Amino acid sequence: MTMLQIENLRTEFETPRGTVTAVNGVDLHIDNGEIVGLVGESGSGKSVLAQSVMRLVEDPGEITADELLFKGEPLLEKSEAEMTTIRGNEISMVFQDPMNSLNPTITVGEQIAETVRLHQDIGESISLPAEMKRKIIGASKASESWRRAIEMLESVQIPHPESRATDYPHEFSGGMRQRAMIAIALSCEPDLLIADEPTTALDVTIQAQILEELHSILEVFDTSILLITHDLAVVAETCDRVNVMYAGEMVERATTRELFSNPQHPYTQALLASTPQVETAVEELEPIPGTVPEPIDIPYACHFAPRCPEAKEECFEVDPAFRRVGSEDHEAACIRRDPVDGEVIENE
Amino acid sequence: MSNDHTTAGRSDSDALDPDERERIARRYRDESPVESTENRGVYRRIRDQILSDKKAIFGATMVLLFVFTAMFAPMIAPYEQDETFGINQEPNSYSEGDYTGNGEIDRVWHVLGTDSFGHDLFTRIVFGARISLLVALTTVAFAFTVGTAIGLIAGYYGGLIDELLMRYVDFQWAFPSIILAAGLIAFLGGLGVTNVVIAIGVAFIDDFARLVRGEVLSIREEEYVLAARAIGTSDRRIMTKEILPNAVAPIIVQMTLMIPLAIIAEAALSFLGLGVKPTTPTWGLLLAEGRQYINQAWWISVFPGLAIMVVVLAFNMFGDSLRDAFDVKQSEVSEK
Amino acid sequence: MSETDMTDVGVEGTDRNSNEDPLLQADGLKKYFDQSDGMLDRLLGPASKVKAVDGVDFELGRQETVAVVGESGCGKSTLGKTLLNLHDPTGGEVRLDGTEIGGLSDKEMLPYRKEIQMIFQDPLASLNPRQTVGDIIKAPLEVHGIGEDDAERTERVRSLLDRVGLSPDYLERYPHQFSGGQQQRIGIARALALEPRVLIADEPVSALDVSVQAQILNLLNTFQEEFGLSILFITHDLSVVRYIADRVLVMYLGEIVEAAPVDELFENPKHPYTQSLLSSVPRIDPKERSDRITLRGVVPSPMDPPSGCRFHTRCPVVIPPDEWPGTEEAFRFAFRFRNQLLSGEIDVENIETHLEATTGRVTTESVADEVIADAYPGSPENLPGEKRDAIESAALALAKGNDEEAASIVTEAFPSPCERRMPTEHRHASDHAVRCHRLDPSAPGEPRRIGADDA
Repeated sequence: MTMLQIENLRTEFETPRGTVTAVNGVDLHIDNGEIVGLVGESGSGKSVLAQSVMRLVEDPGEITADELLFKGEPLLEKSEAEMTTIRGNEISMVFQDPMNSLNPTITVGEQIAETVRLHQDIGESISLPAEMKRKIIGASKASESWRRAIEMLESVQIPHPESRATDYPHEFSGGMRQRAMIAIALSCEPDLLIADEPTTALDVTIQAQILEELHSILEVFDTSILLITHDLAVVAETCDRVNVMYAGEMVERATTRELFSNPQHPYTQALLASTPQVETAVEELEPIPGTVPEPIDIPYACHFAPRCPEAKEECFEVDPAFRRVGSEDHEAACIRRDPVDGEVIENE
Repeated sequence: MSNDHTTAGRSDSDALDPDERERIARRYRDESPVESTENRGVYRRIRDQILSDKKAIFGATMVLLFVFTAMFAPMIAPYEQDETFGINQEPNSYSEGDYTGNGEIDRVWHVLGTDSFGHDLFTRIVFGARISLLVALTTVAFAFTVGTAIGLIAGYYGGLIDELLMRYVDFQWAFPSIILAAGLIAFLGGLGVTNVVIAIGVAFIDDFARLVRGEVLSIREEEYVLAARAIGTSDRRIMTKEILPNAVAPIIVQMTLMIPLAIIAEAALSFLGLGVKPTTPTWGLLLAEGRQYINQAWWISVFPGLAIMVVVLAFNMFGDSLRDAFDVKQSEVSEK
Repeated sequence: MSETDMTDVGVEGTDRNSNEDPLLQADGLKKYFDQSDGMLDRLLGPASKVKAVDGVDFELGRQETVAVVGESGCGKSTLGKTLLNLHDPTGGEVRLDGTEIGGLSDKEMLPYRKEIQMIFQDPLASLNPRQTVGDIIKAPLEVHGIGEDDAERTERVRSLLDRVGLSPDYLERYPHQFSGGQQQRIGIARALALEPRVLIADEPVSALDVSVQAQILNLLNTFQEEFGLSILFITHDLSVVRYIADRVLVMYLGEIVEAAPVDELFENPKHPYTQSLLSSVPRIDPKERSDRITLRGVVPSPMDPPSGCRFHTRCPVVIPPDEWPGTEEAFRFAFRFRNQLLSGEIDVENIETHLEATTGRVTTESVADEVIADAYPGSPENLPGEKRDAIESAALALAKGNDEEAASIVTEAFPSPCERRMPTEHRHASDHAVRCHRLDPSAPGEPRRIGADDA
């Protein structure tokens, strides 16, 4: 079954300087029990895409889409109240900086317990006075929500969860905070977890642990994961399928194995060529010249054309449609690539 | 390795060479409106902010009017500041008498009435604006100079210097300003504008010193200050060129907010009889004189009081708006 | 610093100019930060000190790029700033071309600033938002009195901008009007304005996108060749190190644990910490992935670093004592139990609440059992008899609240040579130095690459 089905999603912001099209007609789908990667540099619109799915885009953002289906239901038609139930209950999110996402004045255990109470009916009052009381004198250690909080901490491999639950966020190390964030995100057993650069602020040794954690989540909780990152290697190690974004547009998608063994879009190729790799001593990296364009009324068709080594005049004029460029579902949006089966996918 | 793929595509003969590509890209870029608004400077932002806020427009207008009145007082005031007419005349009344000394009876209109000495109240208030503005500006300038220097040095060097300077500031802060000012006047001996300026100015030093020190403490930790040290910049240059320009916004706001306080302080000192010489027209003195006649001639104290209120309010509104304008984070302006 | 003697690490590494003195040299360099602030704290107790850099020796040859790698908090950034005298060193020496510059006052340091410059991690933060690009790059010229007049300096700035790949017309623009990569170019232009011989680059590409990162790295490479720059490249990113560095120093808790030429270090890492660090880096190519060596526990506080080898609390191949009767693996489990107990990670109170909630009755014995179950990986069954007893009596002591007794029991029963003495430097090859007891010929046990058995 398809967990998330996105077709032609656009997210635009009206600004005094023009319309910022942060996400420009993007398709994406995530199946049950899959880890899907979304790779892009800053300014690619990958985070806005995630916020659009959660409908958390800030004013004056406008989201439109031909389809934005979550478990077959259109998210754009939901009321704000229904969305609140979905957020956290069925889709939850993990952010880059765990310290900014945790409340510094409340113990980690209580923060998880609160999420449990709010999103799961476990028969504990969530009225304002009841919550106030908990915040002031601390939650009862015998309550169901507290017990669940400890279970969650345990399931994300935090040692001694009973004692750790009574700690405040600043008493946690960076990696443990990110684990705690994942615990909060998982505490209501979501169907889809969106992880936005979850390891960028962490050291490599900790990053490795968190990525492993994501894998075990998939098995234990049966949660689909959308992993957003700028790091190709993280995607290569973690994801089943990869989507590559550039300046608001999707440029290439394939299974991880196919994408990294046979990259087709010039941007993906250039990105790989500019990434230093730990196992091979390269003589010279090939940087991509220029910078990512600002997504304000980009006048040319293929957004990568001005930086593309293969661009020709047509690239600036003709919108590149997706075409199959390799085995299985390997597709790229580039007119310089001949479609494998002669078929160009129309959707823009 | 995957890197091979890049070069594979490049051998394509019909691909544009980089210069050609850049030329085409530029053709498109020129049509885009991106560049034009990028250079929105800080002054334009402040102007926009003030124009978009009604209170700020009112504040700015009143401040300008006040400054204008002070500058051109002799032209605006209908009579000389020492001319005397009938005493305790009501507003919108006339004095009759030979005031020009030519033997004829003159009929003189007093829009706001006259005070207990027979001075035209409107004339006195207009000339009073002069003293108020003069005292306020010089006072704040004095406090700003000394306070900023103290704050800058204390914040930048820290340690013992900081302890000593800030203990002094703490002491001053704990001491009621008006009593300190009164004490200073007594110490300096005698009344007069200069002594008032010094007295109020000294009393205001702590506000600037604290503010600047706080700013410096955070700016000092910025990486560009470290970068300046790395190229060998002297302490003095770091303080004046790197730190101070970045603290200027809150200081300007503080100055606009201190001006009304200085006006009030001057009025208070005059009211207590510790201000300028009793014959000088100031709003505080007028207020004080009117107090004795509040039952018979309410206007003597009410109109100067109103003048103080309006000017203070105007400066506050202007300052608040200025603070909002400066408060816009750098990033919000620059990004996208 | 006799025990941290690594003075001549990699002298031969600078094969280009092996006869000359190194350009930049640090000898037992230390930087401690005083944690107590204010006079009151100082009066109230002994100052607690963060040992950010603790006895570092290294050399930077002419036109060489040496990378310093390590996780956050290992002191690599402090090392860079201490070399530049932006922090006063607590001890040790820094020599620039043979001249001692460590601890010079700002005034005395001034002439040397021309020789040694720095670029920063966050390019925007390192540029004054109220100054134009022209002012920023001109500042070093003004400070050092280079150029006849302002016009000449402006001309220099224009040519510098051109050299770092920016249009000279950008002179009047402000830093926030540039992209991150362009801002870093401005930072580089400022550093190169004085034509220094040494450049200290503190995570210069960490804040940048990959494609832009490559632009900056190549720019640094070009300048190195053109000006004969020596670069000390501080980073956490091992992939970048592989690309840019000639030689690598691996730092852990303020000390250098391994130093080797770049290919040697990546292909033949010797120190268990370097090995686990390398194994943690994600790889694009599945063929290159090896078994990951997961490090346990957290990085200890630099305020109170572990004795002996600082890595011993997390080391997956910590050495058992000579007289250890059981297997190495059994020792490591016991040692992990010991470390958790010593670091106070075992919370008896919480175990009691937990037992109370689950079983309803709490006895010292049940708490002791739970302590072992909690902190001992696996079961102590495969431990030799007396050692098992030690674990049990320590747990019992802990349950009774005798923390000190418990601590002394485990310290006595499970000692390791790693915690007792500082590892001396072992030279694996002439230019490959490692500080690990495993590689010390006098220490027991064969050096071996640590495997997945512990992961």
